[in-house]
Amino acid sequence: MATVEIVRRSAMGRALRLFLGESKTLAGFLVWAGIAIVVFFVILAVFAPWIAPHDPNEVITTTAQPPSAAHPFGTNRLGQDILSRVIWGARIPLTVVALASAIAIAVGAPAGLLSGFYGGPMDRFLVLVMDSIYAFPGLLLAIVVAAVIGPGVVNVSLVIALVYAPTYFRVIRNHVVAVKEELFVEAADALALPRTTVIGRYVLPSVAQSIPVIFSVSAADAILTQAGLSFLGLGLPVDIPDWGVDASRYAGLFATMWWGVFFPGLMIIILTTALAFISEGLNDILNPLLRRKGAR
Amino acid sequence: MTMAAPLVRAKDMKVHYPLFKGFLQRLFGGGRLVVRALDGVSFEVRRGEIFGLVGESGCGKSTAGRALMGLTPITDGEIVLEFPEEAAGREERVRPLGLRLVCLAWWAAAAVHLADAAGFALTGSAFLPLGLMASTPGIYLALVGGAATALAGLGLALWMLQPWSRRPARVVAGINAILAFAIMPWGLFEVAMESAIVAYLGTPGPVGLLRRSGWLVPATRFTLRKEGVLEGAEDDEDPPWSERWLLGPRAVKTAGLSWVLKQLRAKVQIVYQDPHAAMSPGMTIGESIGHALRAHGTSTVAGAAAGSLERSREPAREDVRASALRLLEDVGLRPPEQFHDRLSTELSGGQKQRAVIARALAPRPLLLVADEPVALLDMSIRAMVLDLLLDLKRRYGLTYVFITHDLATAKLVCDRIAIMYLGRIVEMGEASRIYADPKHPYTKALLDAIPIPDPARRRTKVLPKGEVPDAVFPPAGCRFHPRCPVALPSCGWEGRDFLEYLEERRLDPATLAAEEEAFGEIPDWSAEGPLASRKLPPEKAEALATRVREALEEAPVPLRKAVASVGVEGDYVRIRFRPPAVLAPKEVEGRTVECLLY
Amino acid sequence: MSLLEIRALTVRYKSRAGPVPAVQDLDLDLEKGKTLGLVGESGCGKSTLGKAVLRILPERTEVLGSIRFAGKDLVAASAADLQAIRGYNVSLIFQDPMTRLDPLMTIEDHFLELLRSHESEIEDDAARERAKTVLTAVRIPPDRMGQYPHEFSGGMRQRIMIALALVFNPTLLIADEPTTSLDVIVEAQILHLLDSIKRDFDMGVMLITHNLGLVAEYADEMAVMYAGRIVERGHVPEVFRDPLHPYTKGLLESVIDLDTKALTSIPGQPPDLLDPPKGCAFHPRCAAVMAQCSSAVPPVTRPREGRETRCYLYPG
Repeated sequence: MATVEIVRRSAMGRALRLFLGESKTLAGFLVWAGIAIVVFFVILAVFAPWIAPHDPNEVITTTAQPPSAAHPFGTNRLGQDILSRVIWGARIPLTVVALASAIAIAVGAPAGLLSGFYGGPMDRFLVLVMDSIYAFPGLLLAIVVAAVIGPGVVNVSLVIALVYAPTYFRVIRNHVVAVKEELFVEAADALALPRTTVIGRYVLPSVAQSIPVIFSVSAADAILTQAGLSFLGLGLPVDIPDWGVDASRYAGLFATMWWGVFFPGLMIIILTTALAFISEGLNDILNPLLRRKGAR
Repeated sequence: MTMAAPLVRAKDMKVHYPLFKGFLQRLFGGGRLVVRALDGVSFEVRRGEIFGLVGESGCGKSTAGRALMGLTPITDGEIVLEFPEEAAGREERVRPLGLRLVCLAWWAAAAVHLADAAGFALTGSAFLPLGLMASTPGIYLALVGGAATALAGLGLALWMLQPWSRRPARVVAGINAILAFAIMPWGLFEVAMESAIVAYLGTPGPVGLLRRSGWLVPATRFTLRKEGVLEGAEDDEDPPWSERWLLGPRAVKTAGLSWVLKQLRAKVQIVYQDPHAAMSPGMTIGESIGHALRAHGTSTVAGAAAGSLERSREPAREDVRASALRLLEDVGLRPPEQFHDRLSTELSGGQKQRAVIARALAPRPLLLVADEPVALLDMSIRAMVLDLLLDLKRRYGLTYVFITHDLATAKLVCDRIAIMYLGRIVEMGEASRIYADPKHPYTKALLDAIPIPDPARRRTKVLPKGEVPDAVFPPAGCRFHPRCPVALPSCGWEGRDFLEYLEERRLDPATLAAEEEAFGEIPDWSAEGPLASRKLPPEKAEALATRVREALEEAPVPLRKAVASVGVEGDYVRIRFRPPAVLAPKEVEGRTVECLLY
Repeated sequence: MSLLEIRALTVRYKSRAGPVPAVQDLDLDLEKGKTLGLVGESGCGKSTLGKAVLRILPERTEVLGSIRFAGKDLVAASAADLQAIRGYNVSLIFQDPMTRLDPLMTIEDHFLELLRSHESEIEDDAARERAKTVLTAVRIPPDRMGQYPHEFSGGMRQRIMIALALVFNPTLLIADEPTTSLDVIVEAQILHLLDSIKRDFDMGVMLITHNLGLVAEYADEMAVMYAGRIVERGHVPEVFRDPLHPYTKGLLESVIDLDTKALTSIPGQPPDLLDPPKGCAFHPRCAAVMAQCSSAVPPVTRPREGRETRCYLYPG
């Protein structure tokens, strides 16, 4: 029972309750819808071996066939079932985005936190570096770096992490600089609390709220970037089922074989939109909370 | 027993903030504007008294209070804080031999490592991994350097085991020791790490070791010194001694919070004006207080008398909670268990301020700086919080520096007060004497302006005109002179005052046109120190000069008499003012006043 | 007929936790040429009342009852009517002038915009003249009209706000804590100014404040608010000399002035408007509490000539 109490009273618990309380509004609905869709894709990806009707690389037919009862999404020119390819194809984007976001947060957030808190020459230097990276159009930067370091899931994740780490860095750093000026942070200093406590318990909670929002925005963008890289043949080996790869192969044949590019492309759009829903909704929910907290 | 030294002695404190107006000015420096928040403030606070710093906003009272704690660095002057022996915990008297050895080892290691690094540079190799040195001298240097590092690391590790160090430092030292053994040639890295640790911990260098007392923090921007001072007779078995702290200019704000500064914070705490902003919104009251208790290792041992304490290294969780509850009880938040687990946003203003006070008391300070503690509270709650502060003072033997703009509250609460205006103290002394018979015209004006809640005593007030001027350009001489109803000609009149006077003449719409015709637009005039000038072709200059003389005849007496000359000098019509008399604080009837009237 | 006549006014905010009654069943009168001091501590509803007159309230706020200004009911008035009155017949000045003045507009721009909003055909020069007149009345040098708000001090900004409020010669001025953020000398200057302007322009002034000293020095009539209701009303010298309601007594005693010898306060906390005490909202903190105080809200009674209170100690 004590644990329940602690969870209830803890900051996370409170945030979660506030979050749950918002489901009745439009913003709340958007967030839940987005989460549901993402969860759906995750299930597809994880349970692909059991859900997909065929092996994605298995050649079943001899020619490309339009959607039918046997092959609801049709088959491609190699005779592979597109539905199975689409289901298996969820793995790469989700893996890459999850990994890339994890790396970006792991690098960008602490850097932003410490840089904003301590300031000084280190801060100026980091801001310069991050801003330079940020100034590059994301896809362009991804293409250049991917071309240099070569294909592979981990490499693609690193590339995308590089593109988005500056966003985390900037937002968190700027937020930290603002929160640092708050009286309660100065009060913590005046009490000679250890630095780790001040940063971890006084500054970080206010700032951490921005992370989910940045995450969903950049994740949506990351999906597109990853798909773009695959589309250009830069990210992954060719035989792994991936929406971007598949879409690229059949983009030119849209007139004769619309189902080749349509279904993988549709998945990209749906996932991106779902992530956008989450970010929009979170933004709507968290901002009024911030305002209300600050308004006192 | 000798006369107890005052707890706080501030001498000629100055706090000047540079003001950057515009990018270009910053780029080319030169002629920087400075906000003179405090411009030479001296006072003393005696043990056990409530010393009031009173004034309007911008007078520097908050800055002075914060400077006492080292929250705001002073740019000139000095502050001496002296705490009696009861406050010094037992451990602080101990100066372990091990620490001195470590410091010597550190300096030695640093020297060797620098030589190490130079050696690498000279022999053409750098940061080579284990065992791949390119030259014999390099090997020897690296080995010696590594050994020294190892020693230093061990020494630091030993020292870390002392009770009053901090866990992160211990961890770092441990890692350092391991690295020293494993990766010997990483000389520069070692030096950097150790320098960081040492600066962080504020340990003394060899200079300090040569002194009998004194812990001088090495080589950085600190000028923060702590001394042990022996008092008492020669033949005392165990002479009482006090801790004296010296804060000089550039005594750092909390950046790189050192162990030394932390000890100071245990003795001086601050209560802020805005209770809502001072408490972290996401934390419970218990958490906030708990952090403070843990940081200073204070916990009340069961059975110990109120006010006494044993500083334990890492108090157990229950001890912290018990102490926190005790503090909440002390500040009147009952039942303490309920308040302990409430979020700060769930409390009312008065309750929150009590919680802030409880938190400030967690390190068991001796001096409390109360920065407008009741200004934002409702009237019916103010009395309760003030009562609480007085009660706590009695119980714990605290000393207060009470900062407020409300003279009525100060009268009720303070023993001695200092009235401040634009960065200087204009009147200081025993509160009862000042209120009974205020000497400085500003004090009188402040007292007069306070609204009296009794309609039967409505009166017409003589208010000083204008408002508190900009702290970047304080008036010359006595800063209050442009607004003072009883100013003298020697009070510091200058060019600016003449322009003010011209502006005042044209406030009446009837004369506006005539004034503009006679003297032109105010921006055409310029004022520099004792001069007010206007550039004008010579044929019109004499006429203007005559009009100026006429206008001065109608001016207030002190302004008129302060004018040395009005004349035409080249292209300019110039009005020159006499230099002001030197202003210094004087003893008048039991208080100090800074005014030429005395 | 009073300049401002409020009857049975109730204002309820919509909040997540339910409707919050900021003002309840309130009656008030304000005469021309007089200053009414509206006193109370934080949360009592006095600011809400001030804003309710001109309906400067958040959306979805319920306003019931009647507010008659010069005979016209403002509660029933249309948005257009209210817009015509705001700043023209009834002006409102606030606590913090910096947040109310647009930092990107010069003072001159402020005046031009204001004058044009009510008199759209006015010429620039004529507008400037009007601005100069009113700025002189508040002792701001008119040649500083071209400057921006941040170039003025706090006291001067408040005077500029007053000037903006006066430019159309309103008959009613509502001042919501106009000097709370100012120092005591500037406060005295501003209130002195307001007082003389009131006489020169023959206005009615509603002074909303928590500072009883100001009420004693500048108000003719006063009303004390607690938890959204007026608990005492009357002529200022009489209320101070002989307070009826226990809250008024407590408040007067807790004021710290130069003659205070001891600290007295009112025990307890201000009420939670979402869950107020039953009956008289003050009864948990009242020294003279009786059995009936927790049963129902006491009705308004007039125990003496010209005095009004809501307390069971003074039955009608």
